[in-house]
Parts: sequence; C-alpha cells; structure tokens
Amino acid sequence: MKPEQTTAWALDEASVEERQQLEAALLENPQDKQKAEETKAFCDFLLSELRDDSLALTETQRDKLKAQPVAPVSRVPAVSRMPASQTKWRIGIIVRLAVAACAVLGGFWTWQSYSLKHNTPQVSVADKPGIKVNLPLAIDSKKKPGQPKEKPKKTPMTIAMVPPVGKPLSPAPMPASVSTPSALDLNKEHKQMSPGDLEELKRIQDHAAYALNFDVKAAASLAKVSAMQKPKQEMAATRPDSLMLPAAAGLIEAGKGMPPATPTVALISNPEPDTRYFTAETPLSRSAGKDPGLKDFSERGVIEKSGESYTRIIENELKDVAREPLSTLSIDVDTASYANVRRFLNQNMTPPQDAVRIEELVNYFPTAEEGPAHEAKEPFAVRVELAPCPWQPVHRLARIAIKGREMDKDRKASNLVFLVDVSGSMNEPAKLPLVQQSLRMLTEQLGEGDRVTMVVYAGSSGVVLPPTNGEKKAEILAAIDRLSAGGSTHGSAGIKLAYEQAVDGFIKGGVNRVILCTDGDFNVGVSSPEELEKLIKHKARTGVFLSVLGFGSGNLQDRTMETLADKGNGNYAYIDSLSEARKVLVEQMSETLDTIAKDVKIQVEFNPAAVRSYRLIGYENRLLAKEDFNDDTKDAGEVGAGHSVVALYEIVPADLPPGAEPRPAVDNLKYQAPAISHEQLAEAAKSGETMTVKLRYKEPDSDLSKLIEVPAKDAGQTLTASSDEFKFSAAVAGFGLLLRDSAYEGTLSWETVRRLALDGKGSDKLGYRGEFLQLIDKARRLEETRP
Amino acid sequence: MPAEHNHMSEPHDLFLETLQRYERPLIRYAHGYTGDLEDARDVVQDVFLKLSQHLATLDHERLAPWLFTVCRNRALDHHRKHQRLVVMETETLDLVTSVEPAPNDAMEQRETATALRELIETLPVRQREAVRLKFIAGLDYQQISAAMQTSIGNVGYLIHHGVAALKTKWQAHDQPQAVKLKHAIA
Repeated sequence: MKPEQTTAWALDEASVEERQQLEAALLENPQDKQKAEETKAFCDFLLSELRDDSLALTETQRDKLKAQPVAPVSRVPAVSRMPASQTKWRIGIIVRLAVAACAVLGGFWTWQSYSLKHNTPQVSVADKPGIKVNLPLAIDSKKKPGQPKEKPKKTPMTIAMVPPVGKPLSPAPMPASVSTPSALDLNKEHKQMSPGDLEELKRIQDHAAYALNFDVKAAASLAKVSAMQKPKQEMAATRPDSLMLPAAAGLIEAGKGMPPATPTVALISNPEPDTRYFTAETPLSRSAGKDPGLKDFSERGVIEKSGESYTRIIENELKDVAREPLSTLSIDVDTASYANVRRFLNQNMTPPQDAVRIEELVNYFPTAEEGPAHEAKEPFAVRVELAPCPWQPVHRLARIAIKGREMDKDRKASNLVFLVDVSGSMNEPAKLPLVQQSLRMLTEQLGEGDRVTMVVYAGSSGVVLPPTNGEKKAEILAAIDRLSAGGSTHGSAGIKLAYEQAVDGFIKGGVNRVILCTDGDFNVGVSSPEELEKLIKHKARTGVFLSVLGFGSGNLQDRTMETLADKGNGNYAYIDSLSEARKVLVEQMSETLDTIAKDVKIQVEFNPAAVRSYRLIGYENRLLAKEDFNDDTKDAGEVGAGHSVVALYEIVPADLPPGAEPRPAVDNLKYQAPAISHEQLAEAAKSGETMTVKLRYKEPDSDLSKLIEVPAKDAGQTLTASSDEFKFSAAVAGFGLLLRDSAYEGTLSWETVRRLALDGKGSDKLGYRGEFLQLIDKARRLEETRP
Repeated sequence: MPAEHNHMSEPHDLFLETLQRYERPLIRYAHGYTGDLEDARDVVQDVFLKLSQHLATLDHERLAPWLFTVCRNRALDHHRKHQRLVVMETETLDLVTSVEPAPNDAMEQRETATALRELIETLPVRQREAVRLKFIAGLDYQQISAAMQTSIGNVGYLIHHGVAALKTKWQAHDQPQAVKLKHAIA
C-alpha cells in the first residue's frame, strides 16, 4: 500500500476498489489505521478551514457578468468578436492608466517648461549677456527627447531678454587675482600657434570623441559659418549684441589681432570660447531651473508610484570651497543597487530614481588597477585622476580610486563546498537570489589556493560545479548564476554528497568547510531532527566544518539548521539581507576571508586657488561630519582584500570665467572679510595642487587608525587621454545620473555614456562591463521610448 | 443548425451555472495568488469574461480545469506585475525584519485559515499548486490532473506530500516548545 493511497482515501478520491482494498489493509494494521485516521482528520480540517465562502465578486461585477452575452457556437464572427470585447475591456484599463500618466507627466512638463522659461533669462541677465545669442544653439544641440516642443519658444525669448546696451556687468563672484589669468588664457588662444592652440585642438578632439556637450555638427557648422564670413569685421557684425559689451568686444578685438598666417587654427578655435561660455551656462541654468522644484516633485512622485520601499536620495549639491573646503565620507563597498537596477532594466522598466545609488553602481565593477605590493606598509593604493567631466566639459571630474591589497599569500588555503538548497520553497526573492548574491560575495574573496565545489539539492542532488580553483571566478560565478529553484527537498542526500566532496578535496591544515544555504525545509528523505543529527555527527568526524546560512522567513526551520550547525562543528547564521550576508561572509569569517582594513574613511581637502566648488557624486548616505574623520570611535566601511572603491567629484575650477556659473548660493558677506584673503589664495596657488585626499583606516585587529595622504595636481589631461578606469567610472556615474534624471546631468547623452564605457571596457575578464554596455542600450531604449 | 437554435439559451444558462458554481472557489483561488480581494475580483471577472467568449468552443467536461488554469495565469500575470514594484532595498529589509515580530509570533495571532494559507505558501511549487486546487478550489484529482497537465497518479503523489508537509508544519506551528526554541536561538 502506497502512502499516497491513504491520502487519496482520506480525500474520498480513491476508487471503490482501492477503498475496499485499503480499508481491509488498515483493519489488519492498527498503527497504519491510526495514521490514516489522522490524515483524514487533517484533510477534513483543511477542507473546512480553507473553504472560506466570504470571498466573492461584488454585486455589480456579478450582475455585469450575468448580462454578458455568451459567444454562440460555430459562428465565424464569434472569433473576431471575442478579441474585440476583450480589448474593449482592456482598453478601459489602459485609458484610465494613460489618463493618470498624462496627468502626472503633464504636471511635470508644465512645471519644467515653466521653470525653464523663467530661469533661463534670469541667469542670462545675471551673467555675461554678450554670450546670450549663443544660447539657443546650445539648447538645440541637446538631445533630450520631449523637449523639442520648447525650442522654438526659447529662441526669441532669450534674445528678447538680452539686457539693454551698456548695462554694467554683474560683478564677478571670484577674487580678481584668480579671474585675471583666465582672461589672459583666453586671449592667448587667439594669438599664435602656441601650446594653447594645441590644448584647444585636444579639447576639440575630446568633444569629437565623446560627443561631449554639444553636437560636433553644431561646432562644425559654426566653424563653417565663420569660414564663409572671412573678413573679421563681418564676423563681428554677425554678433551685434556682443559688440555692445565690453567683455565680448574684447574677445573680438583679440580675434582681429590674429595673424593671417594661422587662419585655420583660428577658425577652429574661434567657436571655442563661445562653446566654453555656453556650455558652462546652459547646463547650469538648466539645472538651476530644474533643481529645487523637481526635488519636491520627485519626492511625491516616487512615494505615490509604488507606495513603498526606497529611501529617498537627495543628491549632494555643489559645495563652495571657500565655505566648505572639506568633504568627508565613509567608503561604501555595497553593490546591491547595480543588481537591482539591472533587474529593473532587464524587465524593461525604468528603475525608480531612488533605487539608483550611483556609488554602488560605480563600485560594482572591480577595477583592473594594481593594489599595493604585499610588502607595502599600507594596505591600499590610492590614485587620483582628473579629466574633463563628461556632462560638464568645462568642469573637471576627479576620480579617487582605492585598491585594497590582494589576498595575503599566507592565508590558509580553503576548500569550500557550497551546498545550496534549490527546492521549490527557495523560489522567493529573499531566498535563492540572496543566496546567489551571498555566494558571489564570498567567491570574490577567494584566491588561488582556494577550491570551491558546489552541490545543489532539491528532489535529487548533484554536483553543479566540480572542484574549481578560486582564481577561476568567472566559472564559479557562472555556476552560481545558473542556480534556479524547483522541486522537493531531499536535504540529507545533499549533505551526504557535499561531505563526500569536501573529504575528497581535503586540504590538510587548511580550511575545510561545507557552507549550507537553505531555508531548512527538508521534506524528503531523512527529515527528522534526530536522524539528521546522527548523520551530521557522523560527518563531522571527517574534520570538515559546517556553516549553515539560513535564508527567508515563514518557512524557516530554525531547529533543523541549529541542530545541523551544532552537531556538525559549525556555525549558523541567518541571512535576511545583503548587508547581513556581507557581515557574515565578509566580516565574521575573517579567519577564512581576509579583511585588510576596517573603518575606512575618506576626507578630501580642496584647494580654493584651484577649485571654486565641488560635488561628491553619490555616497549620499555615507557622508560624515568633518570631525568624524579623526574620531576613531566612528564606524565606517570595511575593505576586503583586493577590493576596489571609487569616489568621484565633479569640480568647478576656480579659473572658470566668471559668470559661467549661476549665482553663488550665498552672497559674500558685507560686514566681514571673506574667509580666504587674497594673500592666502596666492599662497595656496603656489602648491599647484588641486586637492589632497586623506584616507583613514584601521588594521583589522587594531583600534587605532592610520592616515594616508595623497595630494593631487591637475595636469589638464583630456578625456581622450584619461585612463580606461577613469572613462569607465565616468560612464557608470553618467549612467546613474541619466537614470536618476539628475539635476546635474548637464548635457550628458546616452551616446556619450556608451562611448566612454566602450573605451573604458578594458580586458573585462568577468564580463561585467560587457553586460553594462547592454544595460546602457536597454536604458537608452527605455528612455527614448518613454512618452 | 436547427437543433442548435432550440438550444439558443443553453450556452448562457451554462455560463450562469458556471458562474454560480465557481465564482467563490475561483475568488478563493485567485486570492491565494494576489493576496488582495480587489485584485482577486478583477482576475476572476476577467476569467468569466474570457469564458463568455470561449464557452462555445470549450469541452464542457474540462470546464473546471480550464477555468482554474486561466485564473492562475491571470493571477500570476497580475502577481508578476505587482511583484516588480515590491522590491525593497537592503536597508528597508533590515528595518522591516527588525521591527516585525518573528514569523511564528505573527502567525500565532492570526486566524487558523490564514495560518494554513501561509503554510501552503511554503510548499514547493507543484505541491502548493495541487494543494490549492484541491483544498481551496475544491477540484477532484481528475480535474487537478487536467489543470496541472499531469497524471492522476502524480496528483496523488503531490497532494500526499503536500498534506504530509502541511501536517508536520501545522503541528510544529501548534507546538509552543518549537516556538520557544526558535526564540532561544534568535
């Protein structure tokens, strides 16, 4: 007699014959009979409890259905009518959704166009008005979908708003000593085929390579226009507005003074000053317009849309160096946001803005940079690189890269067997996917001496990854990615197999450990705690240790897992989130996995002589007070062996022509001297440094922090000449800015992001970067098809 | 053709009959997927609308399996759409888990039926499906086998293991000592 038959009998599903047979058999065996009775009682209990008749359609729904005409038999039109009424019903929903969407978007656009209309001219008046004529050009070149409607309006508006002739310029926000060299600089460009021209050419190359900021076409057409109007006076005449104004007139005079021997260079570099101005202006005026109100809007928008879940991110703002010369943060080695964003994009959905944490996107990608040598005193290598900021080419982007020392050679070799429960019950977001992320994290930590085997169990068990060297991360990660859930749970068989594998690959004097990832629900095979206990006790004698990682809730069989860990020379941890997984697999398993430094903090001091303002990109929830940097009791992030962490700053150079920026947030004080005197500035300028990056960290077993200081100079490197890692980090950050629809995205386009990512891809051993390129295309399509 | 004319009202009668017979089982069943009554109603309304269009071409013997299959697909579509929005970032997850009582505490406070439904949720997919069709939808083995496109024998197997697992879980759930043990561990 099969046990299934008993259940069938209990449910009245057995045929008459079967029933008679079974009942006869039960009479002979009172134990079975009792069991059968119990089953029947339980089935009846289930039936009575689960037949809840209170759930029903509403009266209206029911009446509507009753009135529903039924498609008659065998009539050809019936087929065509079916989808018709079906769609009608669906259209109802679609129309309602569309109306709602329109209302939301309508509000958004109205607001944005309002802000654009009202802010653009405002900025133009406050700044150098002579350049205003160029504004429409810059806007035209922006490839933002949905905006073309506004274009025609803007052109006349800006022109109309150009202030009356001779109106005095608003005073420059920067000390005179700093702004003069820039003026000199500008004039120099128009003189001879000087080094300045070369630089200019390089910059143009950059623009062409990454479609920076404005269309190359626009630049070319501008060049053409000026080429056609060869006589310089005529050229000036095409800009009547500029002529009236002293500053612009100065520029043109400089143009007049150009020696005729270098017409070509002049023609190329001629549009350049213009672009320099309007590139500085338009994006900023746009962000200035977008910034304050949009924040409010997006706040409401996000919460309304999904009703839950994402901590709102308020983007870091541009900070004035004169007022806040220090920027302090705790490093963040999380990468969850990238995985989450990827999931959204792969489902053809735009991720919610607050799901996009840019620092996590950037740090998702291991960098190819070399860590410090093993003998090095310091556990990190710190590099700072500066190049033009892809979304604000007149700004600089500083990339601070920290690379942890690679795994110590003397670390004990590990022989790890991942034993993963892939039964149907693991098919939940907080279970198998979390298991995969946890194991990935663990895998990242492994090195050459380590060996990983992976065994899965469900209805049956099997080895899905034969013993693999820890170096071959791609293979291990691929095996982890392949895991999928389904079926029943034959836990005991899996345990047996895992131990066999662990014993086969036993490393004497090393770490030999089975890492069991499960929700603890063993429902096939040995499943009683007593039997499992016996099994595991036996296995523990082999010298293999066990770590049990419990996942999920609701079905968590704590008891089973606790027993396993207790009897199996092991430990047991419950993983409810990625941060918990990191804690367990990265911090607490430091015997097997090297944490090279803890409480790692970064403090950057900017040189006011070189930097006017700066903006930290991402790390919004990792900011520290400046005092926290030297306070060793303040907790911060940990860095594992070989970890790479990147922080990016957008920097507004101090020598930008005045007026290129919107008004400062706070005016200079009237009754007090400015915080930095001119003498101090001149002194600061002598160092030639842009900034100093300070890093504090503690050795894993120490409570005293150590300091690393790295000063950085800006050699004026172009984007084209920047390192692959720089380009890639910039691409990922740009990707994040676009997804976040950031107020600081400036003139960034998907195309720029893609080119940067492509150029910065490098060898891409793990294939992450290739995947990122695909994500860019997905995101781009989504954004472009967005209504 | 004339014969059919005589039975012009028959399809509609059958439709009303089906509505009467399966309205509540379908809602219960859909509710198991959506977890929300309004959504379940929408799903079931959709199912019946579909039925009204397909009734003529359906094998009447297989009406129930058809209804529940359609219902499940609709409910799953719905669930998938819905699920996408319920993604929590790790911080939020941390918060939620720390604030909420342990699963067992919460369960104790709930009604028996709700607790049972929660337990069913924890079964492996196929078992869960079979158990839902049996105990919530009230289908018999044959109908379940048609709906799940598997043999009756397999249905018997799935339901047996589902019921056995539920029984064990239910007993564990009832036993206060199991709860205490978990607290001790936590």
